[in-house]
Amino acid sequence: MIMKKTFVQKYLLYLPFLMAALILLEWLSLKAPEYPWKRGVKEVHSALLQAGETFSPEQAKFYFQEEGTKYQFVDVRDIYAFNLGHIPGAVHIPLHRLLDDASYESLRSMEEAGLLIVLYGEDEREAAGPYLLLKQLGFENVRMLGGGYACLAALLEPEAVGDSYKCAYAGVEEIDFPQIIKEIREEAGQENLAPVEAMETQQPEVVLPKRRTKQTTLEGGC
Amino acid sequence: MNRIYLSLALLVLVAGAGLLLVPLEEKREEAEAGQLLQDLRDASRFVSTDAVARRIIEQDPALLLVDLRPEKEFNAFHLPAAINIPFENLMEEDALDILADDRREIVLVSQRDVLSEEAWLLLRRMRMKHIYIMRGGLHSWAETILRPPVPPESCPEEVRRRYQARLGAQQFFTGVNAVQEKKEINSPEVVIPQRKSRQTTLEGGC
Repeated sequence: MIMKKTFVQKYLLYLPFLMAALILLEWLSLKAPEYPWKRGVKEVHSALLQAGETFSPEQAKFYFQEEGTKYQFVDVRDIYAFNLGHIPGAVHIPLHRLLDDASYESLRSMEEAGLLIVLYGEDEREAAGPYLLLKQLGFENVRMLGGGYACLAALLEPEAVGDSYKCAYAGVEEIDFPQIIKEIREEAGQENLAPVEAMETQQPEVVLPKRRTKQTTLEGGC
Repeated sequence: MNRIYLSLALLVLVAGAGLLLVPLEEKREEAEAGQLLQDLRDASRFVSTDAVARRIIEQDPALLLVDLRPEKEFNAFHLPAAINIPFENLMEEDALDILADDRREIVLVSQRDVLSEEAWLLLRRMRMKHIYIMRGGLHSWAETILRPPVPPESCPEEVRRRYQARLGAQQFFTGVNAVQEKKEINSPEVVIPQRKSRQTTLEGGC
């Protein structure tokens, strides 16, 4: 006696093929990234430790005023900042367009032409991200502008910013904190306080997460 | 009946094969360039010096301050409860173990914020999402917490409240009694405040 096949029974045969199709689809969707990394994290980190990756404002000023220069300045700020004022001859590639096809192609062609690409933002930090991205994507001739555009502009037009403006950037200045705290206490007339070290709380105990070794097979058992 | 068993067996085989294939691709432990770019545009990685000061004072257990400066500078001065991982040692096993622990929120601190930004990007590529940057670094710490600039009278209430909070933080971190300053602000008499020349690093602004 042939029973009428239920829905499931009828189409059960097709199920493995459907599953295979789904898995194939998912596997295909994990396509290779558009811009694969060309340098590992540790490699780039070591490169950062070397001097020469950051240009000082004085160096930058010298370079772009030079005739027949082999440097190409790239402005990573937004269009409004760029229009207000930028380094003469600089190309505008804002952060959000850094990996667009057009921008990427132009950066590649700059490098192939033998130019040294100098990225700059309003401050030094703004260019650090794009600089690192390009470095990891395999660019060799990329540098950052220390102090950013603010420092360079102050250098070029000191009258505009006044005497009190001090362009300081990472790697150049050193803040003497104990001295600052001493001065603050002197100003308040309270020099005779405990030294700074005694004020500080204990350092937190850093617990290194223990790597769990693989559990062996169940011991004991029934 | 046989056909059903056969198709079920085939199903299990295919599913098993699929499970083998997929994790092979998923093993990518690194973020891609496009993703990092999006993360860069998002400013949520920054925390203000005010927020860090408040969390130190409240002894927030979820906070871990990591100072990226060289050991010598760290020993000369560091924020309370901060640990030192010099930038050059960032990629060592011990350092990465500490940084990979996502049970706490790790705030990177450096002289300004360039080193912190660089470290953040490299760690983010390694899929560490619990890392933040103290905006402005210790330079900003000195300018906002150690020597909070006095806001002019015309500034909104919020700014003046923030200044009060900063005075409290200044007292906490330097031991200086800020009572004198408070008296000047709350007093109803017309007292011409003696401007200490050093305090007004941001003159005129709010």
